[in-house]
Amino acid sequence: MLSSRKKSCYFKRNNIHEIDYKDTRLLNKFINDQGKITPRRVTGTSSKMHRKLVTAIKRARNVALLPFAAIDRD
Amino acid sequence: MNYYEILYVVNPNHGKDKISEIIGEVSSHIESKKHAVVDHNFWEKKALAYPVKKHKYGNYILLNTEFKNSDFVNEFKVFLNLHAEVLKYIIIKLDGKPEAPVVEDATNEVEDKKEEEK
Repeated sequence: MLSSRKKSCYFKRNNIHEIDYKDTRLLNKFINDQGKITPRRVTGTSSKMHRKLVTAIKRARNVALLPFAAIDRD
Repeated sequence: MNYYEILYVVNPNHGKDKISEIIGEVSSHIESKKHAVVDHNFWEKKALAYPVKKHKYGNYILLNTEFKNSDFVNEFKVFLNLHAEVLKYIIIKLDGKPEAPVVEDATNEVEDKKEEEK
């Protein structure tokens, strides 16, 4: 159900200013089952932090910490 | 004077001895060119998100360095490309001198649960 309450930025709430690409537990919150990056309109991340988040996720993908595409064939 | 953080993945079948041998080899290559190694340690053995050269796991090694000139980056990339044991690597330029690694605290998890409840 859609809520009328405005979403707030996860990073602002938790006082995080820099995102490390090695922190996969954090980055996993912002990708879906397919491995795609969740859009800002869904997560409510501020545009500044979303840019940093995207960079971090793409770096993590490069060293096989996160998938480029995860397809469940089971 | 530039600081770089380099994360590379080596063959998962190697034991600790072989890994420390590779670490020594990479360090000595950097030091032989008069650049400095700030920190060079084995990070973790992890499952890879996708298979790399038919390997499902990888030994991650984290390296912090200080290169005197940026030209050495390309030279170092060639070295890593030719190194038989290195499966993947990433080189990231840091803004300043790397800080000591921060130990993860358990408080994050508690906060996460609160988020979900909301």
